[in-house]
Parts: sequence; C-alpha cells; structure tokens
Amino acid sequence: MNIIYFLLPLALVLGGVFVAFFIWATKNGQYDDLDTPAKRMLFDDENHTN
Amino acid sequence: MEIQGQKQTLLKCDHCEETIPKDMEIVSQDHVFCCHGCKTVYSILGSNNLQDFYKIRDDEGAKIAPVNKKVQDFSYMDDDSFISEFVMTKNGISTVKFYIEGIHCMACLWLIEKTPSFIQGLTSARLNIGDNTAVFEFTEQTKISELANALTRLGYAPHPLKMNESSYNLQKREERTELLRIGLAGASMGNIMLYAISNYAGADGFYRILFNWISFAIAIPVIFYSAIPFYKTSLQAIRMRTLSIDIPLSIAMLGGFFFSTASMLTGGDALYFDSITALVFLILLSRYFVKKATQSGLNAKGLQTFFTNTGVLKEVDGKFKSVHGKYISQGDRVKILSGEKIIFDVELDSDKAVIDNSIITGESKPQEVIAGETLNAGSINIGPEITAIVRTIGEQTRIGKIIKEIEASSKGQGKTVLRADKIAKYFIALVLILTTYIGIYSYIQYGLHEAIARALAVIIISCPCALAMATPLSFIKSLGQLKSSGVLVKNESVLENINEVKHIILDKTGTLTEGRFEVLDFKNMSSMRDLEIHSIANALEARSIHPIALSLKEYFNRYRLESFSIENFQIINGLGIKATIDGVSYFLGKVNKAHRDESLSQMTLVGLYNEETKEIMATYALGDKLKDGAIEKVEELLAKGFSLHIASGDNEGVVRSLGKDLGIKSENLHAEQSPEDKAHLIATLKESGKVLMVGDGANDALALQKADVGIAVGGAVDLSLRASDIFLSTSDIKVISKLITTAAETNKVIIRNFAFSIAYNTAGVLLALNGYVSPLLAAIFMPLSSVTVVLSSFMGTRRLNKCFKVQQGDLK
Repeated sequence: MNIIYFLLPLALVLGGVFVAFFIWATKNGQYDDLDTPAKRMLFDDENHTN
Repeated sequence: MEIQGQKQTLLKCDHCEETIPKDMEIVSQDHVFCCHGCKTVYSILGSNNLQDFYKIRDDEGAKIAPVNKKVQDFSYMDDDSFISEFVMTKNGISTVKFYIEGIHCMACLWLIEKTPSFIQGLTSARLNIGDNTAVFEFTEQTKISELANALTRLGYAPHPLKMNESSYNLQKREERTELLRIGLAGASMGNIMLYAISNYAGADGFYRILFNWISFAIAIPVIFYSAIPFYKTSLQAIRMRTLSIDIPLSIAMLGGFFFSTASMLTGGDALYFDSITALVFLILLSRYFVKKATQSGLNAKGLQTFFTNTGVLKEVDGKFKSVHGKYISQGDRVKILSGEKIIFDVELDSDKAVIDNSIITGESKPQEVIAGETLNAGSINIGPEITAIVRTIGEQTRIGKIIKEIEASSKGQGKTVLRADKIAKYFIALVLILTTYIGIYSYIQYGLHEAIARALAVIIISCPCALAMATPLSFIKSLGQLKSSGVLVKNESVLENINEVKHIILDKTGTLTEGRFEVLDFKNMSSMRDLEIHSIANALEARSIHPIALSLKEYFNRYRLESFSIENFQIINGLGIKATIDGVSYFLGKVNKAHRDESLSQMTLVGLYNEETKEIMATYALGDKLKDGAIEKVEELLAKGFSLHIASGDNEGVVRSLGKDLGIKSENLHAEQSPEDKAHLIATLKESGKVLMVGDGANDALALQKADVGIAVGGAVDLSLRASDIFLSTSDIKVISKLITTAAETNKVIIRNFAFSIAYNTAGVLLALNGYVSPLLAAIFMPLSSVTVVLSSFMGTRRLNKCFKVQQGDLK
C-alpha cells in the first residue's frame, strides 16, 4: 500500500495542473466560442483553392 | 444561354437554387437569377474571387434563401450617438458586433469571414455560428453603414448588438466566470468521487481520515466560488419574500459543507462532500445549457439611436446646409433627399411626396402625401427631394413614443415565473417545514447532533437536485430543436404561455403575404414582342412618381429595354398617363371594366392602350402575393381551435378579401390599424385569454411587446425583432404550428420530470424520517434521480421527436 504515497500526490498534482490549465484557457478566451472553430478549420487555405 | 429554349423547363436561380416562376427570370451573361438580390450577390462574389462559396454550400448540401431586398437606410449607424452605444474603439481599431440574420451553413461562415478581402478598411471578421453573432474590426476608413450595406447586399440582415467597452468586457467576464464555475465544480466532483468511493468501499484508519481531508479541501472552492450564484438568488428571493428552489439548494450546500466539516473534525462519519459538489455541478450545467440556447443579445435597449441621422439639410438664410440632427428644433425647414429617412415628425411643405411609410402602416406600398400632411419619423422619402417643416423631434415623435413604451415595458417585465416553478414553491415550502419539524423532533428525542444530521439528510437526500433540474432540462431539447429549424426563443418561459394562448393575431403584410407590392402578372394582348411593350410602358412611366409607377419601374429594371423619346406627355389625374411615341399615342393606366380579369380581382390592374384604336395592348397586375402555405397554415390553426385575427395597416377592402380567402370570421378582421391600435387590440383581447401576436414590421413592435407571446417572423425590422419573445429566422410561418406542438410537448416533459423528482423526493424524505440517514444513501440517491430526469428530458415525447423528424425529411 506504500505506493499510495506516491500515487496520491501525483493524482492531486495532475488534477491541479489540469484545473490550472482550464482556468488559463478560459481566461485567455479559448472557450468564448464553442461552435465555430470546429467548422472553421475545415476550410482550405487561401492558396490551395480552385 | 438560350433563354427561349429554356423556357419550357423550370429554371433554377444560380444563387439560391429556387425554382423561378415562369417569365420572371433575370438573365445576366450566362446565368439566370430569381431576383435582383441574388444577381447582386452572385456578381459580388464573382468579382471578388469568392465563387468558392457555392462549392462549400454544395458540399454541405445546405439551402440558401433567396435574397430579400428591402430598402434599408443604415446612415444612423454613422452617428455619434449610435457609435457610443454600439461601437467599441481601442487603439484606433473599432469593433462592432452584429446579430446576423440569414446564416444557413458553413458557406455563410466562410463568406462572412472573407468580407475583409473586399470591404475597405475592414481588418477582421469573426462569426460565431452558435449564436449567429459576428464581430467586425475596422479602421477609420470604414463607415459602419457601408459595412451594414455590404452585408445586406450579400443577403444577410445585420442587427447591431450593444457593445460599448464596459458592457462588452462585463459580458465577456461574466461568461468566462460562469464557465470557470462549472469547470471547477466538475473537476472537483470527479476528484472527490475518487476518494469518496474509496471510503464507501471500506477504506479505514489513516487512509479514511486522509481521504476525508482531501475531499474537504477540494470541496472548498466549489462551495465558496462555484456555488455563489445560488446564494445570490437565495438572498434575492428572501429579500423579495418569495421562495426559490435556490433556498433549499443553498441550505443543502452550505449546511452540508459545514456539518460535514464538523463531523470530520469530531471523527464522525456523516460526510456529504461528494454529494454537494455533484449538486453544484449538475445544476450549474443544466442552467448553462438553457442560457446558451436562449441568449441572443437582442434586447430593446438603445433603440432610440436607430432614429438619428448625421446629415440633415436645414434651411439657414434661404440656403440648405448639412447639420447634425441634434441641432434641429421645432419649426425648422429641412430638405429631405430622395431615398433619405425622415427622422422627425414633419409637415410636408412641397406639393407632393411619395414615401415608404411602412414604419406606421406596415405597408411597403408607396404612399402619396400632399402638402400640409404629416410625415412620421422613420418613413423614407422614395420620391424626389422634398422640403418640410419639423413639427416634433426625438422622443416626442410618434415612433419615439412607441420606442419609449417598448423600452419601458421590457424593463419592467423580467422573466415570468413558470407555473412549474410556482408548484415547486409549494414543494420547497413543504420540504423546509418537514426539515424544521424533523430537526425539532430529533432535538427533543436524540439531542442536537442528531437533530442537525437528520434535518440535513432530509434536505440533501430529498434531492432538490432533480427538482431544480426538472424545468431547465426539459427546455434544452426543445430549444435546441427549435433553434435548428430557425426558431430563436429569446425567453424560454414564453413556451409555457403558448400553451394557454387563445387568440392569435396575424399581421397581414410580410407575415401572411410576401410584403412586396410588385408586378405579379403580365399579359400581352397585342402582336408586339413583350420587350417592346415593356419599353413603351417604361417610357410612359419614366417621369411619373406615382406609387404604381415606382413598382412598375422596379419591374422594368430587370429587362434591357429600348429607350424612346416621348412627346405630349400628359397626366390624367386618377386615371393614368397619356403620351406619344413615334407618332403613336398611348395610354397607360386604369383598365376598362370590359378588360378586367376576374381571377385578378384582388390586384391592381394597369393597362396599356393604343389611344387611336382604343385597343388594349397589355395588362400588368400588381399586388402583394400570399406566402406559400399561408392558407394551409391558417386552416390548421383554425382547426386547433384558436380564435384567429388579422390586424393590418392596410385598407378595409384588402383585409376583407384576404380574410374571406383564409376563412377568418369578419369580426376578427381589423383593418387600418395603427401601431397604437394593434397594442390596444391586444389589451382588449387579453381580457378573455392569452394573446399570441405574429408580426414583422416596425408597426407591430409595440403589439409584439404587449402580447403574451410575441413572434417576429423572418426579415423583420430591428424594432420588432427586439420587442419579440420569439424570432423566426425563416419567413415560413408554417413553423408556428411546430412551435405550438413543441410548447405543448415540453410542458408534458416538465410534468413528467416533476413526477419523477417528486417521487424520489418523497421516498428520500420517508427514508430520512425513519432515520435511514447516511452519506452513501445520498450518494446513490442523488445521481440516480438526476439521471432519471436527464433521460426523461432527452427522450422527449413521441410527438416531439416526430414533429422534427418530419421536418428533416422536408429538407432532403
């Protein structure tokens, strides 16, 4: 059961890192528009059309 | 392309792919179009190398609506008062946000974001396809009115959204905070689950204590950050002395947290950290979805600035000088150019004027005004330039008063409380009373600790969660389905009102009919070619500014006609025009009784005669066409037992014959209605039941605001769009019966959800009453009840699912 002393902090730190990343992304405006980017990426680049 | 040969087969517009009615095609080079709007869009796209639009559209299989070309004056957008309300400027870059009507598919997204490549000064355009809003950034070179015009020419209708710096940042911050609260609660819920399950599974000793502490630590941000909105609404409810579902939720959250903490410190076992974080997360999430589905930003604020204008030609010492609208006062004489919007109530000084007075009458048919009569603010001068004397300005004008009333009544309204929520209140009261009772009873029997433990258990186990989610969840599916079929519900609580509607008032022009006064039929009775006839008629009408002449000229515009010089031009008042071309005298005007066509009795007939032989050469029939499916639609609504009314600004005769065609009782036909009359009509009808109003024009705006349910149909003007509760982005009124079905079915889902949650609640309370109180019970009970409600909501009802399946079939 000693492994728990390694895994427990790891799980907490990992969780914390992801929450921190989520907070950063939200504050940075990454989630301001949840629908459009998924479609926008489907368009061809300018030079490859025609 | 050989048009002659193509006439046999059905032509399709090269832009919108609509089938073109016979002989109505417009030919330009190798392409055919159904209207000038479509032709314009096609040529704009062509000249800017944007033909990929059609490729993307075809890949998507989407359908583009024909471009509805309405005369719109956006000059108010260049005015300072508009800019201060709707435009944000930072470091030389200005930003404006529009709600864009007419977004269909990815091709539209592509096109809107390509606008910087052909509009001068525009640096960026970003469209949010979720809520159909677009943010444009531009430098000083761009005029907003030009941007709006460009969007209109492309076939979209831009509606500006309020965006000065503070409100924009505030809104952005609010949205992000909301997301943060949900994300944090979700992450905490997931992590606590890990430790809670270990404990339920039988972790003991040191691990158990450690896991408890970790759960406690993770729950802190949820209770003190994520759950803040619940506390706020609870306090508000308490201050207003009403009950809200948020009160038991707040008690459960805060009480559960502090009791669990105390329990943890004293070595007890009653820990609810997992349940309360799940509670916060699930309810925040369900409310967020409803908000996302209804949010549009189209409110009635700032409407006043739509009736300002930068340049007004004011007479100073006998000369007309351009001054800002705010320097105009009563009694000033102003000049109004052709095509300009009038922004004051004025008295006409020139002999005659032709105006588009749709803002008051709802009729797009040009109106003739003679000297001394009043022109209302908001009407557009479509004839030659005129002079007029300003009578009233600003809020004192007729339209100003209407806007003021719309703004005032939209402020006081807020969200109506759903009946379901009213019922929930009794339940909340019951739970609170039971809790108190159990608390007191347990205190006498077992002491303080047990009293708190049991009272809390009742509140947490009685699952307010399912109850709180029952209503918002029911709406998510319906709102989503409605949105995808072009119905934007701005306020979900009106769906309930729809179920109680007794009277339905339909506007005529633009709602039942196409809203355009145009040539619908042409008959050539001579041996000449069509084009020759048109050329002659065009030459005769060239100098006339009569309303009918303007519509005829619009029609002639689509042909490449010969020009003739005319002699002996003569206007015969009330009858028509006489003139000589190439030695032949013609008359264009009223048709002899003998030549009347009974099938066209509802239309205005104009005939072209050869004056010498008195022979009729051709007739033009002008009118406003009924929309496709309007008759079936009205029959359907009548069959459902609604009392149907038509309220129109048009004259008695037209309304009467329309009512007869549609089978509407003559006492329910209301003709010559002013905006104020329509609002009054609604007030009268409201006495005998709820009223649903469908309209599109500025003249309907006040009525839409006053009705229990106000529906603005596609192509509506800003004023009515903002005053309405529901906005149809299609002009297809068939959607209304779908809306009615959806409302009824949503109500059934709400009731079902309530039944489930109340069943769970009762079971929970009974268990808690009998002393079966444990965190594990709560941990099982809450998700179980919530999942039931979620499943019940997303399964919908059979009719709800069917209603939209049929529609998808239609599209294919």
